[in-house]
Amino acid sequence: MGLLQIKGLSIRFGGIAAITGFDLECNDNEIVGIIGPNGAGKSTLFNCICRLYEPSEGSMLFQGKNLLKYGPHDLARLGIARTFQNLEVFNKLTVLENVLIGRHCRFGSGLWSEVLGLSRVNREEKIARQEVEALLEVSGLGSEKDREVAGLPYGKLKMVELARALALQPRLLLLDEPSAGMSAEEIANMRQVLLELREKRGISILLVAHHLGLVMTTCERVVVLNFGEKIAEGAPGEVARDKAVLEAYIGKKTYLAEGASKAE
Amino acid sequence: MTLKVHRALRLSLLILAIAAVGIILPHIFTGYYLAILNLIIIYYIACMGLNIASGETGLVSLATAGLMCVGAYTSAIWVRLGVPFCLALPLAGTLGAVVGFSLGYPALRLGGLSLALATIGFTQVVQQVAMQWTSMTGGTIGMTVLRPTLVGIELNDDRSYFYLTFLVAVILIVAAINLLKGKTGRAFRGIRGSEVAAQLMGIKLATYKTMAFSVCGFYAAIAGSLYAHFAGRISPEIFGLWLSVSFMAMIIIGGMGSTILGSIIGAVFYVTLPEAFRITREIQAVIFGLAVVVSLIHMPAGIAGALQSLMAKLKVKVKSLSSGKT
Repeated sequence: MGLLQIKGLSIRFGGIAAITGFDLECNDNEIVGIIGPNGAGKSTLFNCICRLYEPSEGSMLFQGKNLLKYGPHDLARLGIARTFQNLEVFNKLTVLENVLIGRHCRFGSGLWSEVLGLSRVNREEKIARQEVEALLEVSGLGSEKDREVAGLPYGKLKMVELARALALQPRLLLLDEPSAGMSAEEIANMRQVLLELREKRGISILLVAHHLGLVMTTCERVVVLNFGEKIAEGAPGEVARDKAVLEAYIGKKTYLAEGASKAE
Repeated sequence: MTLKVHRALRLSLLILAIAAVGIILPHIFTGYYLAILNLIIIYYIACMGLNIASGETGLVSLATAGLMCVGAYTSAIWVRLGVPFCLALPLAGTLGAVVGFSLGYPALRLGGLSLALATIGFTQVVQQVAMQWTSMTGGTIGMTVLRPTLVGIELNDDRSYFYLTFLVAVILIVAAINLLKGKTGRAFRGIRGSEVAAQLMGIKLATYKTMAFSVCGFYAAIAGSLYAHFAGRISPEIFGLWLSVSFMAMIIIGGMGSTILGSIIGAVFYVTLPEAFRITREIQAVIFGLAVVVSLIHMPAGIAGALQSLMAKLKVKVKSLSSGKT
């Protein structure tokens, strides 16, 4: 049985069908790429999985559990983490605090223990800080840990979001455009990070990215969305040559014109 | 000296220092100024509560006056009925927490302006209840409130009352620091930063928003109770919308989100402003309003924030000077 199983997912906003009849399977230790033109429904898909949107139809199972029974705040406990296309970092907090919030579920102490300042609380806090500082070092954010995120460059903020998601120790990571706005060097670095996450930590990843190079070199499988429907699925090489995919990206007229000129 | 002994020593010294301040202050400030000091501390407590809900968690609240009203009247009535003050005070606080908890529910559905309006509605309702329930509260005439008796001693004068307010404030400051430095404080600030991201970190909005308002209610009710027994007389007209707005203005000027430092700055500013300038109430209102606008535009982190960035700049300068010399 797979890690994540989505069947027949549909969601409508008013009269617009954002996603229709979508199926997806993701297994352990897999990186699945999700690509498609802008507005295809990729972020909407993530929002459905994260329970921020309520689908009109379909089922979603995570490790056999019915996701529809849970709310967005349950995902951390279940083992699903997500990064955002438009960044949802906690602006007024430092890098360290941002990532520490990722450890929220691991704190056992209740409200009263905290208020009374019991030593148990201090111990948990200390352990969490050590773990997070180690994570930040590995992520290359060690020197910025006490800086407020508001002043940091975009690429660094993307790393903060990733580190924060990793602090949850998820089984499944939903990455929404992690490479957007990054330089070639940073993207190469990102590629290494993703592959390591799969190899060393056994995390499965759903990767939404526009940088096709990154998708092709990291994903075992690629799913292509257009206007909310799956139009192709398969190994990166196959999908890159798929007719429907090329049409979706460069437009039918251009595709046919190029095909015609090639045939001549 | 082992670490534990070192720590215990530091803690004892800190407690002694705080106790010293608490004992010395009411001897330095006397008469009228002592009364002002008492008032500042009472307002400080309410401001801390408001900062926890609004500054840290980002929930707009103009409910402070209503929550104080609840605390003030419950405490006054119970003490009059013979309940010892040392019980009436925390009970009033608890009732404030319960009422605050119920405010958490509109906070889940409403944001920003709508929530502000809901909290205004709440304050109006509480004020009306105080006005109409004449058998309990004495209605618009108000009621007199007895000075409390603690440990057999009646807190007749401002100095002994100061010891009470100071002690309560210290306890509440420690509680606030403990609450805000750990997981709960981060959850509050996370909600303010991004509700969506906070939820995906496992922070249940229902739990933490109601918690923030409960704590706010507790603090405000305690402040209300302390106020009632200090002033000796309360009436519904005190606990109106203007008071709520004043508290919001206090934390804006002091620094929203700066629960410990900003709150005291805001309270001092508000209470001492009319005294410092010997001005009429109308001019006071104008100056206060201008201070809020200036704060929002030029000092979004309030005076506390401005002080903190000044300290940071000084630190950098000192560092560069000392490294330049060597």
